Amino acid sequence: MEFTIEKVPWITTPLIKSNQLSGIAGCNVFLKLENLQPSGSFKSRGVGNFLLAALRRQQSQPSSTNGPAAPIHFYCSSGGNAGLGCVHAAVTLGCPATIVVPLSTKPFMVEKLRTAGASNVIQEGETWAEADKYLREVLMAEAKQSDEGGETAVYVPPFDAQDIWDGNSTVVEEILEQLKEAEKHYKIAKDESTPSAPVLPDVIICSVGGGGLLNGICQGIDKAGLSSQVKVIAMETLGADSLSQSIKKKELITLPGITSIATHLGARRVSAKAFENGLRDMVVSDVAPDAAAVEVCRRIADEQRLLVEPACGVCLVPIYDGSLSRLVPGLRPESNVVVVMCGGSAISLEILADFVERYPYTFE
Amino acid sequence: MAIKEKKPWNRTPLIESSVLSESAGWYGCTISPPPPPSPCCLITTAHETRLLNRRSRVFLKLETLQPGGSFKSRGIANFCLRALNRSQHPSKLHFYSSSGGNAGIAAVHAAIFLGRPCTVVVPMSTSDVMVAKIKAAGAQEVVQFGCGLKEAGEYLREVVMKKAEERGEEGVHVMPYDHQDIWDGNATMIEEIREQMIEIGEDAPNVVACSVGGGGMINGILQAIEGIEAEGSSGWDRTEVVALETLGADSLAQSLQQGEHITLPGITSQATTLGAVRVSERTYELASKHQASGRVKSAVFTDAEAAMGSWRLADDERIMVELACGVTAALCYGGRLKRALGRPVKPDDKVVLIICGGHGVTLGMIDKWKREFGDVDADMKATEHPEAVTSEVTAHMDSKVDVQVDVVETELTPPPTPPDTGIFTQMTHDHLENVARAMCRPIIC
Repeated sequence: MEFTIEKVPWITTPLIKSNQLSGIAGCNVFLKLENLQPSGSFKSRGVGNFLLAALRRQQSQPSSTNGPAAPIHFYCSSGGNAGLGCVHAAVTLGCPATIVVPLSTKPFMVEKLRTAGASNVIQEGETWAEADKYLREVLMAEAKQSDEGGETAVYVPPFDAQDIWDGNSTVVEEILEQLKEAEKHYKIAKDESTPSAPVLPDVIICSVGGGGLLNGICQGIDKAGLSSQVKVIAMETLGADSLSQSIKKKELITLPGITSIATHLGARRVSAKAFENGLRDMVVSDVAPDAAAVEVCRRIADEQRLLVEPACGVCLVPIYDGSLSRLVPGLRPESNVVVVMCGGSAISLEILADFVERYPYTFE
Repeated sequence: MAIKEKKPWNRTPLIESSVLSESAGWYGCTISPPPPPSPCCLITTAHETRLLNRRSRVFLKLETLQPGGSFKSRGIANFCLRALNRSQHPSKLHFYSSSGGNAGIAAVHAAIFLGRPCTVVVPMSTSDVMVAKIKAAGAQEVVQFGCGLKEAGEYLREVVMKKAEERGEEGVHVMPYDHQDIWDGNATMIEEIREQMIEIGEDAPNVVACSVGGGGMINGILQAIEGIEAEGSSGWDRTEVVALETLGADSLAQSLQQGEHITLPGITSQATTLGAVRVSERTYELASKHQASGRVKSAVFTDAEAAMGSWRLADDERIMVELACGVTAALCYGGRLKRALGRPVKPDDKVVLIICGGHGVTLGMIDKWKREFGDVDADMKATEHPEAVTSEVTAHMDSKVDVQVDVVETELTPPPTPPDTGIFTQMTHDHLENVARAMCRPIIC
């Protein structure tokens, strides 16, 4: 099976200004619409780049005496957005991808993986850890030993790899470019004494699961030389707050379990890199209850006409509940807040309606 | 002037929808579906089988992401841009719009891009939510006057703009759809699609599907396709255009059927943003010419089907659209694409849906549509023609639907004969009240 590496598995997503959110926050609020990535979430960048990098590395290796290297077959153990990111990227790049998911994965997500073009979707294990173990110790081991397939089995991690953070960091480059153009399309509050000053981000808000997005954002900000000017608010839901608890204890901890409904933030232990970033002055960690995240999803549906998962909605809680000014003191009307709407496919009208009924919440 | 080079609208994403591709191709595809998973284990069909069963592909052009929330940003911004460039005194220019909906918001965003003020005059029937949205977008002023669009438009021209002239301003009335500058702006959508298809290694789409209200969008689309053909580029000469309307706002379909450019007696569809009783002259001219050649296919779906398209798009792609846009999404479900095209859907068909956007939708409305029209196709099993179930299905539609009105040209006078379909079963002097109830707000005259 041929593959091509001229293709890029992610797209440049729009950066829109939300008048409603700007009004509530009292400053300029922008949404980076990662929900529009081909796989439905920002994972198209990081996971997509991981696949791209693996293919490039193989291409640049000199052929061995046995001939060219066997084509790559990607393996991933995420039943969620990382799995979808892997499948979409693999299909774009012309490679097969096999996904192993826990038995608890919802049927409609399994169907989405199939529809997206996964070579195989295998359900095994009660938890992600068990599915992942089966993938690495059984499936991939078999693939590596087998002579028939003639494939090179490559494991795709959901968040803990430099190639993934490199891919995720592209979101910052785009945000900076797009902010420059923002004044042409939207009314932007500016400091009247410097009307022609460039529009730069003061705050970037993102959700944290394993921390892959956070790492990419910090890396992108560092690369742009804006580390002393931008604050990154790292949001988690209560019950999936591995980063927040690690920061409080000043050690990288593993949660006993995930009790949040935002299961796509459900990494019991963030990557070491995310913990390192979390301790920096640039990063502010906060946690919100599931119900607040659900209420955000409900409001965003009405205000932006987009459906997002609570794992994504949580990053707008500081704006709706007014905690933004506590998390980042000194914000002014001309401050620019960019919320990375990470996206995610595990939401539907029925799921949202069910959440809204079970977790009622009102922002004061 | 720097403004000439900058575009006051966004290059919107063209995303491929695997779910809609599967749905649109399923009913019409001449290939057999992949074999079901083996009952002994949970391993699904192999990748190779899927490659053999190539399916038709559906792409969504996300105009809902324009600054103004709908495709109107293109045409209206282009209109404003040209007006500014033509003006002798650009610094005195003041834009005026009499739309309480998507066109008004688009006008405000365009004006901001050009650094000029924009005032919007809307009918009294416009919802507070919409008025707030127009203000938040940056309108200089929002004035509420009149029972309907006609009165609001008259007040705008005869009072508001006259006062502006007296103040020394150069007032420009922003047309909602019937102007060449608007069609030129809308045409840019096709230029982008052309580039975006090339970027993904594909040539022209086989089908472009769009909704038709006054016809501003389809004018731009057909004009652009004609332009590409004139360049001698191959591929687009085979592109079919499906023009979608809802029953009760089907001014184009009826004109094409009757072979003359007609005016509807009134609008009885709840997709009020398609509510033009008469399409533009240019639309009738282009559509009839291209229908004769087989390029344009006119399709009319019921409000129930449009509602189905809206809620299914929300569930399948997490994007919420008004009924006027849902009617286009409906094409991908229940074999409608095959019916609309009048031919089987081919495995290598590439279909681009223009997701035109619009503000007239909330989560509550989508929820309601799902509950009421949960399985529109089940209702239709008894018959081939969607129209046959209209009166039964739409009679269930609760008239208290919070639909934002962007009525382009609704005649608020009683029609000569009451229509048999839709929610209005008697058109008497209560007609206005019925319309108001459907719009869920009081009419204050």
